[in-house]
Amino acid sequence: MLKIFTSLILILFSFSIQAAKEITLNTTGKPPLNTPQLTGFMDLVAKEAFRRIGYTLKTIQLPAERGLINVNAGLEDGEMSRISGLDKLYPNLIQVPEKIMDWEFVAFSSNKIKLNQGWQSLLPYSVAFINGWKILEKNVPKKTDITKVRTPEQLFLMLSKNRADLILYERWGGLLYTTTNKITTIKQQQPPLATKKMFIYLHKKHAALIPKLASSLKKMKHDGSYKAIYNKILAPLE
Amino acid sequence: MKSNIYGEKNSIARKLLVAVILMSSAMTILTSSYQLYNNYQRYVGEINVRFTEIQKIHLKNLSDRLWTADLQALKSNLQEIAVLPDIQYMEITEKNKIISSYGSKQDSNVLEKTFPMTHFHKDKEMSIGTLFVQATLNNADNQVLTQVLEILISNAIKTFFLAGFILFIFNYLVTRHLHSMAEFATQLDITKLDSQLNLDRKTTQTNNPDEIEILVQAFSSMQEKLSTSITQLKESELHFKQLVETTTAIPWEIDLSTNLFTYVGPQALNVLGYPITDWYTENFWRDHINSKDTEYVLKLRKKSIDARLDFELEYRMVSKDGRTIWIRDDVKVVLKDNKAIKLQGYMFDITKRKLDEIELNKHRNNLEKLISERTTELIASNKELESFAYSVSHDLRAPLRGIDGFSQILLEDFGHELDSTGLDYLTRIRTAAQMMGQIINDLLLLSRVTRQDIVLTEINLSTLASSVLTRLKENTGRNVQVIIEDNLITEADQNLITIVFENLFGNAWKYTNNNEKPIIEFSKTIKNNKTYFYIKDNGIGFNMQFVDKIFQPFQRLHSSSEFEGTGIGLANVSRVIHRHGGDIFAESTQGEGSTFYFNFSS
Repeated sequence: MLKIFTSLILILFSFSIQAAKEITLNTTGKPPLNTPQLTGFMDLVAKEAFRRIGYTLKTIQLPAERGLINVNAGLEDGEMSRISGLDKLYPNLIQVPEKIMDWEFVAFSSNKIKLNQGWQSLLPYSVAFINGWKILEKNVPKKTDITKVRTPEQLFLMLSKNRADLILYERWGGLLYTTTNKITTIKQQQPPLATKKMFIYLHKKHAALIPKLASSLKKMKHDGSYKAIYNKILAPLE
Repeated sequence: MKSNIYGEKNSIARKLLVAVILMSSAMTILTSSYQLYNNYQRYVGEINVRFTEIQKIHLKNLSDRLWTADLQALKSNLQEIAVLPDIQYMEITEKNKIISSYGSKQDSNVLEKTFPMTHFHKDKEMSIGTLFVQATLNNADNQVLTQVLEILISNAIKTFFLAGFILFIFNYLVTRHLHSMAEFATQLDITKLDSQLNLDRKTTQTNNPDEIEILVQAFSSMQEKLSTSITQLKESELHFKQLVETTTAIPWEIDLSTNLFTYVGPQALNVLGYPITDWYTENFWRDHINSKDTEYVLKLRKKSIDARLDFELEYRMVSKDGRTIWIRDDVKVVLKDNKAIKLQGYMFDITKRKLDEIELNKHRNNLEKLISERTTELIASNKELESFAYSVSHDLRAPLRGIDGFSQILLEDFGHELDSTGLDYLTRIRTAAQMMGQIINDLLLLSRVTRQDIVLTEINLSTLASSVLTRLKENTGRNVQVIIEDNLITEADQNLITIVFENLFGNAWKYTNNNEKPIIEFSKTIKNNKTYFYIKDNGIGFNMQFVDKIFQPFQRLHSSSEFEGTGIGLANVSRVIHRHGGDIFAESTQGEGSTFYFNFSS
């Protein structure tokens, strides 16, 4: 009887050791920040950060809200990149204090547009952005002529068909699209409308990993490995 | 006679069957076509409703998707729309470029609709593309086809049972009885008209018999009438046969296709002596015509047949005992379709009449010759007599003038030496001589009237009468009431008519001398359907007993002492009237007057 109990404990322990070695994060980002093959900028940064604390990284792509719900329920281990303060809404999530990167929400247009007055600068224009992007839905003035779409491809098609004066998107995603599709007429407008720090969130069951991971990220920024990844993935798009 | 009524091509049952099937099929085709057309139109209408649904429900959404270039959503939306029945193919076009499509396009048997896609941008509606929707009509066709098959099959079954039922009922009620009637009629013989037609059916005991019963009753009635008619026909035939065969005429008939007699009355035996059977042999009639008449008879016969005209001819035939028999043949040409097919006729034995005619002709010829000779003699004698009368009259006038003349001289030169008796004698001699001179003048006039040529001219008799009466008035100084109808016109010889009027009006004037109110009337009237002029007076008249004498010369009804005259005047009048081809007669009542009627052409 004791032998059986001991064997059971050992089996469970061995499983627990094996599970702790792999972390599954939900990602909502698009290339060049996230890819299914984990070749995006954030994929590589997170992968290296987790590797340094002994974990391998696995990602899944879920819709933004679904991802949060699932992680809060413990179905996944965490979120790859979310703005600060979500732990108040989802109490089972813990924010890694070191940001993984800044997300810049910028405007793209075929014409040069002055954005000195921030969000209010958008008022005279017809604007398109992706449905569900909270920061945009919240900040774009209500009186603006807004078109919401599902995909970034739609955004750029609308722009090319002159159905929108400008589109709002995440900087690196937009640059990747214009570069990949060799679109030279569409330019990113300056300055960015908003810059948000993005953080990794883990389920509270992984609370112990939070300091280690933060430390790992900080070290990467210091030792130049973060920069190296940036140079490899994002710098060519600038 | 009995046969399968369904198999007979011309049976009523079969015709009824065909009619029921045709009518039922025609009606079904008609109503079904209408129903199918309606169904088809309803189906098409449903498709149009779907088009409207697409326009109202999906078009806005699709336009939004197109505006935002959401190709995936467009595709997905088209997929949703394609679930609608009959929607075959859709495509969204933007600037003539197909942006998204779904389904497979069909070339024919489709309904199509194109919807413009718009979007409000900057308060302006912009055309951003078109939605083309194609709906297939294959399902509508299939549905109609299925319905057609269902209708055809159900109609075939219905028609089959209905036709079968009608056929059975019709046969039970009608056809089998018609067959029985036909069989009965076929076996009906005019010698057995009393047999009865009985049908295998219940007879209705009401006052309203059905059609079959009416037919049976009509059959019986027809049998009765037929029987009566045949009896009457037989009696009539016997009657006419007796009538025909008891005459002396020989009735006959020839069929022109064979040129043989088809009937010869028994009288032929009595007339020509040959047995009747001989007449039916070939060329019998022709061979027994007198050879002198054969050619003429055959020619006339052929000519009449060709002209299709009835004809009569007389010819001689040779009797069995060698006598010549004169025949008069009255022949009727019988036509059929305007072609002569028969000759019918009567031969009359006219031998006696013909012989009498020949004898009569002989006597007539003799008589005519005799009359001609006598007329010639009479004309010569008449001329001689007229010439003699003229010569005598003319020659007598000279000595008469001598007697009268010397008597006058004697009276004038020696009158004073004669006593009264002598003077009386001398005066009588003169009066007699003058009278004789007047007679001679009248005789000469009579002679002239007879010989003078007549020259016809149009004469106004009223004018002539008036002038004659005026002259009489002037000569006598008497007052006579004269009534003359105006404008009585005729055509006659002027001189001769003047003689007529002078005599007739002279007589009227003369014989009214004793009347205090003498009236003479000249007018026109109708007598015995002929128009006559008449001269009427109210003189002394005459006794109608002697009316025949008044137009004869020297016949007088009054003494010359009462009324002077020679008695030749009316003879002259009568001769003039007759020479004009006219007629004259008189009517009279003694003491009341006379009327002379005359005309110039009867």
